[in-house]
Amino acid sequence: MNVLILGAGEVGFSIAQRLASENCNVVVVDRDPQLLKKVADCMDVKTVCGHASLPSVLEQANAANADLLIAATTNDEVNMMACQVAHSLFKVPTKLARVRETEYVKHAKLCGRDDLPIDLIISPETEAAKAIIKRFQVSAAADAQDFADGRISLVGLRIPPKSALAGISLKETTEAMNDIPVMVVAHEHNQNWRVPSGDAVLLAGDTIYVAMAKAHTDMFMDTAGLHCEEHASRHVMLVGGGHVGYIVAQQLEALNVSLKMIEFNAERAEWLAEHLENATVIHGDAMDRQLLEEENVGEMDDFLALTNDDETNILASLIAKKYKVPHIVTLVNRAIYTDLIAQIGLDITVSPRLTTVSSVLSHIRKGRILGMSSLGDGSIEVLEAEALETSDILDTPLRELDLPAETVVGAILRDGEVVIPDGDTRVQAHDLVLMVTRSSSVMATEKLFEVHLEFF
Amino acid sequence: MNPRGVAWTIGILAAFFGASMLLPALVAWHYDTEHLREFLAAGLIVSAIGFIMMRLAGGAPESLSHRDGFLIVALAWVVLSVLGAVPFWTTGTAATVMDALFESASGLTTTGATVFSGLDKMPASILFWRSMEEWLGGMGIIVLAVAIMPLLGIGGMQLFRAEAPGPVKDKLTARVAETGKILWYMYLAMTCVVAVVYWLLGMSGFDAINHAMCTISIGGFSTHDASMGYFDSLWIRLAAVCFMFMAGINFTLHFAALRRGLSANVLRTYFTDDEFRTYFKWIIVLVAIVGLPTLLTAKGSWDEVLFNTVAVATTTGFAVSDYSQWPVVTSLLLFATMFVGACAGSTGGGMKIVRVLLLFRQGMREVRRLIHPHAVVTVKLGGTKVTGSVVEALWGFFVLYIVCFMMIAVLVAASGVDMLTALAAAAACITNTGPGFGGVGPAENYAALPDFAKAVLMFGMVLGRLEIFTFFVLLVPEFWRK
Repeated sequence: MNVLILGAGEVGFSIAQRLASENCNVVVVDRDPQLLKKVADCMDVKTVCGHASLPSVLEQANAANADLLIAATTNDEVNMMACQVAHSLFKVPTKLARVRETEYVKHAKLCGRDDLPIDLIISPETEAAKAIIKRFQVSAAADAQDFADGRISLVGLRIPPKSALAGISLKETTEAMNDIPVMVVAHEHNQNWRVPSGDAVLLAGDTIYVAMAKAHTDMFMDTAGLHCEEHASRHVMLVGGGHVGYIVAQQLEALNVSLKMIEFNAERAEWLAEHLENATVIHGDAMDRQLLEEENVGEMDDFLALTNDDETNILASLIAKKYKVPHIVTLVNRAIYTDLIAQIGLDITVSPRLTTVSSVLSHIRKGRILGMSSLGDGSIEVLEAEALETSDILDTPLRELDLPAETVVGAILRDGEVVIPDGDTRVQAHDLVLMVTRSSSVMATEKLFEVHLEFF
Repeated sequence: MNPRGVAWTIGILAAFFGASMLLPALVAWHYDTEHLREFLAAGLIVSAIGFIMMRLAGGAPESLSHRDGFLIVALAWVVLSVLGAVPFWTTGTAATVMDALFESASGLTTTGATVFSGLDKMPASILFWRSMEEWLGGMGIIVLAVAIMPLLGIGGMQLFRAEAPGPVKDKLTARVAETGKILWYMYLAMTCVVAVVYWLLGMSGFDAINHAMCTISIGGFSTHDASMGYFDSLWIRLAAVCFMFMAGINFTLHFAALRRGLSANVLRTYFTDDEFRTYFKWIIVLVAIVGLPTLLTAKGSWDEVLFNTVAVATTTGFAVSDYSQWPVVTSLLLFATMFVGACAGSTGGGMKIVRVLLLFRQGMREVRRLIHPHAVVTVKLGGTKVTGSVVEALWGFFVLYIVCFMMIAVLVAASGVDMLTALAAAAACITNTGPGFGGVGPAENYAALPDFAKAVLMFGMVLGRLEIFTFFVLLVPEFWRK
């Protein structure tokens, strides 16, 4: 597949890296030669320097042969214009654009065949806000993702010291969880992510991802020793009133929590105070100890650090941790911090970059792959796929199946019922299967669901 | 640094290189000449060495750093130069081990400096292997490896960049393997066309194929002692001039022209390129300046002037007559010409037109700045600004190139040859031209040089082929530190 990526920022970079490693022909366009040099050094792609929406630049990037265009520059208007140019002049069949401004995103009519020719609008801020709210709802978990229309849940959590999960091997999890059907599909120990085998031992402090039926989530969290509180009674402190902060604040207001919002910029704080109903907007620096104590940071149930600046978010979160705030969510953009974050003791991070990359990738996947998402540091992937009559994995007990390296079937949705599989389970036609695998085995895993020729 | 990865990559290159020795064996069998067994044995030995290296290294490297890239490319050229000498030695064609090594390195780096004489009576297999080494080295063995072995895709660009000539290295397509493939397809196609044309113009089939390989690779080995002078046909000479000129053009430009299709635009594609325009004018002016004193003193005819000048200017190293006998002024001019060389991204050697062009423009920029102290003057190439770091790298390259040339010349002179020969040999080898002046002129060869001089010159050829930096970084202790 020929892919044209506009913008070599964090999002463009990650997508390019992923697609190039999956044998796509990738061309990256950016205005900054320095960024492009970095791109060319890291991966096997072609780079073109220039303004992304100009026809001459797109022509130079061989847009006429592109199957897919991903417009991910920092400028909304450039992204939308680039899609228009690619559509009108180069007939690029599929176009994805990153659009930050919520005003544009709100109006669904804006995009379409006869209007702006964009097949999918990706809004990193909205995606990140969604993820933050989801995590807020399962507040004790580090991560929570829904699959199969919300019937299967993948909960990521850091094992607390006295949890029933600490110190047991994977085979014993069902027993330890009072027979709630769950399956550990990803395991992090000492910064090392892997898809665990039955012999792996879980230790306190490790991070794991557990697949289960959505209905079992609360029960599971209780048994695992992670307690949830009611939303309404919670006190939340939110730092940073940018795009993400504002969207999250709006949704938190709808959940009726008591919200304090700290914003550094006076004008923006004014604006927030005007546009938010119940939140207390405070103008000040989140790293000002006096201010935090004034606002009783120690009494908070949740602390959300959502500024545009990674360093501020991380430091503010560390300060909140010092005040023993039980749940802290940190927004982290840069990949290098994502790896560091667990090491410095922060549990929950949301990365607009990773969420955007996941949504773009899942849109690109063809065939029977319905959804896709990355876990942990991005080395583990979740695929949601429908098994067809001719798929390779049908009707063989899972333990006899020749799956790619480090690949497991995490959960199966069969006729509306969630099945957590064991070695004897067989995948049947039309099952919705949640596969968890290493990034390097994604292609091999996808092959399992390919439509075979005899089908026709 | 990933020593196992480096060893594995060199191993697989050696294995393929060994396999390619079966072709001269095939030639020996077809023409029923000597050395069939020697070539089969050499191929086996070289392949076996490659397989053993791969075995010991354990497996394909998962990733290669840019340092590994430099190490692989530099080592590959040295190791393959040595392995390519095996047939010359085992067949007894070369008098000494040093001669065999010299001939092989000269071939692979497309220098075309030879220690062999009596080529006309040499077995076809040996002649073919010489030409083939040039042909393999022309477009670059690493580029070939990147193209045919997707395994190298991970570090492919690192390797590609360390080998490809020119100041700015661009990919033609999104994937480096694809770029490698396109380059080699074009190279192969051009070689076939040249071979057919030579054959139609009256060369024997064997001569046509050999000379085609040596023309397109800008190598300069011939199957005759008299080089191209053996063919007393004006048309062959003119065709060879055209083909040498074509091979000296940036292959990226050939690709761009090809992509536009065969319309009237093709010429425009070429002439809108800054480097090509300079190359074109440069050759014309050069032929005129060389021609004038030569024709006035009646030392050579116009077609000899044209052929020899283009052969030296593109760093091919073919000759139709002994141009070292021409007036001193032309000799000196041709000597300087070798350093300029052909276009970047071609198979030619030298410092490359584009570098000289940019350095010249940089010089003019300083002059303008003296006249207008407050003027903003940029160095441009093809209408776009050349960034400071590229120009800085050019100066660095230029200085190192001259320093290396002087050092090689001094070392060659230290082995006891006269000054003209030492300078000419150093220049002809570092620019990958081949024949020089004085004791290594077109009518002579390198056989008479002492072994020490040959060793130094071999080093110079590889240094020149890899454009100094790739090889030079290995000589700096910092490279080996963690």
